[in-house]
Amino acid sequence: MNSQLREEEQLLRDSVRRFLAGRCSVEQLAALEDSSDGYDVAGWGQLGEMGVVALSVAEALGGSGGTLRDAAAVAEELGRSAWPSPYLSNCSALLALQAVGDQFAEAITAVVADASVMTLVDAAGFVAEQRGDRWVLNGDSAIVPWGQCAVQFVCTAPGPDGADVVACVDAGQAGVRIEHRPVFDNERVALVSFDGVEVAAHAACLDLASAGRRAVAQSKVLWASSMVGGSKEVLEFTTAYMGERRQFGKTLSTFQAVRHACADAAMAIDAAGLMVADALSQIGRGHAATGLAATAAYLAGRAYVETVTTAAQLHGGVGVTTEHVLQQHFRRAKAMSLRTGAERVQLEAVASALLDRRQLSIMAPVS
Amino acid sequence: MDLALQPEHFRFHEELVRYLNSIDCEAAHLEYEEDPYRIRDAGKAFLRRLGADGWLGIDWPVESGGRGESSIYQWLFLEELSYRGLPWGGLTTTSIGPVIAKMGTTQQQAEFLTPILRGELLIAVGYSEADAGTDLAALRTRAVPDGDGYVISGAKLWTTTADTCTHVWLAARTGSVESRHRGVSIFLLPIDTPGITVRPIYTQGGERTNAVFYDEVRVGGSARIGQENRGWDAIVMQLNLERVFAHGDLRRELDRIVAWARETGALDSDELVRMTLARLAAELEVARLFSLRAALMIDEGRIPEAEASMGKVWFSELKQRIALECLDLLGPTGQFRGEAAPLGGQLERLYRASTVLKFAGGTNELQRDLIAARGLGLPR
Repeated sequence: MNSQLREEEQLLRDSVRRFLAGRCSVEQLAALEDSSDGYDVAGWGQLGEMGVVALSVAEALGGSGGTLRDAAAVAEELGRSAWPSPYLSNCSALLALQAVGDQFAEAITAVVADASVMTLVDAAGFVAEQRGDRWVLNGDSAIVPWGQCAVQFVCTAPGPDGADVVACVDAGQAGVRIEHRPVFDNERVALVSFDGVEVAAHAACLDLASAGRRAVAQSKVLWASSMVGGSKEVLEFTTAYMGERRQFGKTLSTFQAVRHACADAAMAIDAAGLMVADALSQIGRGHAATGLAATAAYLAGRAYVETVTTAAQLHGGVGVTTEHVLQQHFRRAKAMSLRTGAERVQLEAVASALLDRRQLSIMAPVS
Repeated sequence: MDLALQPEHFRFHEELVRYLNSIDCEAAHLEYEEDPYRIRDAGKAFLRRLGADGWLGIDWPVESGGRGESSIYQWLFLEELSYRGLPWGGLTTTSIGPVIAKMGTTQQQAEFLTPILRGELLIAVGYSEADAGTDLAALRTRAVPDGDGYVISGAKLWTTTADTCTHVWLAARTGSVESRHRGVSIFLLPIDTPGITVRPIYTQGGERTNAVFYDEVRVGGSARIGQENRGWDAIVMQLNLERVFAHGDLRRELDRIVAWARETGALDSDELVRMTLARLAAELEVARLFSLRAALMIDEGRIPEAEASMGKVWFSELKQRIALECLDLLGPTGQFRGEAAPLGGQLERLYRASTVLKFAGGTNELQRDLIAARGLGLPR
């Protein structure tokens, strides 16, 4: 990466950090969690004006024309802050639509223009059938992040002859059912069902090249980046605390058991962070690299959970109180890794990429 | 950090693959499989071949006879050779040679560097002693000045390859015992110098290491590398050069296991097999990236410290996990050994050999402490 790009990425990170700085105190996070929307609607709009929400959408469609790497930098900062938002799910949906071609230009432009939320219905159990010049979508109870605040759903569903159908569905359309489901962290999730939802030809397309599915798989790297961000934040404030807190007349940082626990968390975080960087590098060069993205998601979930459980142990009582931000991350870590795909789902993605399509080389597996 | 390799790296790797495919490596590989550390007849012939064809010292400066390439090339070389289970010269070419190039006299450079690059010189490392393991500065083997040279007496442990090498890189005390690391000097001497006795120590992994006894061994002053009592600088420099680990050995092991799982159908039908191998494959890619990061840092003029420690801990512990978890996948037949065992006994050998790396080359406890201190800045 050349230094100019690095500088631009730093500016982007700085602006997102500045934006988040006054919004993520423990009290503010608690208030958001108790609010009816679950996220800072006005703040989201501001992020939209900053060009951050549609960062990786082409400029011609009203986006910022950034790369997946830029979006990952934002995701990392959001992950650090524990600020709840539909950012990740919105990105996945936009990337999937953008990947399948020009057909959805209008839909993308519209959703970008008013910073409304689009979210992804990524459910294997859904089916799309062609009926005349329309598509009919059926499927039950997909777990959809931020489904309750989306104005549009992007759905990738198996269609005829094993090809995917990518469709854009208005939340208010007949046959769409959205049920709120409480989750144990501060994000929001809904169960979304399609009961004979009819989609006009212009709002759906047969994705013969599986471009939508690939984009969704690649977008997992954003989820990974967010979890890496959360892990880094937690390890940083934990090591700082270990350098302050005294017992037996010395700081906790001097105890080898403490040092080694921190070292293990650092190693897990670097492992995940490197995998995110590797996936982004390969995708940036035009490779699919869905295996690396899946691996990054798996490792990042693991790292985040290891970091928060370690941090909770090292903090002791103070870390489990609702006044400490650690409990936000503690809940987010496991819930986010489950949302990114429970371990079994993630490992299946890794298996299909790294085992079934095993590349016998020392080089990065990029298919 | 941009981790993607450049087109010139791919070209180099392709050239290397073509080269290795064009020569006969079988005997050297069989020897390596039996004991990767001890380079014997076939391995020696192979190394001389590599040297003659210009493959040793890829990242050495041109003025020392190397190719003057960056660490990435050397790393790719190590990865490919270890992936194929072939000797690459070990520490002799990766770290001891470069230390001689920096700290040795003109005469020492002339005497040692070219033979190393020809694959003719193989150097064992004589650091550890019975009472100086992780705490190396407690070493007691003495080198007493005598005329224009020294007389060396003492006993070293774990001098792996002492029976197959040509020379030993020896740390000996030239100051008082209390002087710790300020009273150590480094010597490079032929392993057949009179007074040296090598006794084998056989390990559970089938690899041989050695106890080496020094009984009034006389060496000239030219055997000392660097200044007297400044040997610790050479040790530190040598360890700093030993920071890019090749994970190719593990990749080869895992490839074989995956192939076994595919052939038996377990990869598709047995979810435990599939999930376990997926996790290990993910962790193997991490080993690749820890190595790549260290090489990239060196090329940027930085010394990977915590980063190198992470690579070492991850690699060594992954090796043991692969052995343990894959043996479990075999079920009760996992206990068989030899040709009748699943995968020709590959996994049980890996298991028996899996523990050494966790303490050799700086114990993993020491590495974790270094990660905490240098990586996280945790005050001691």
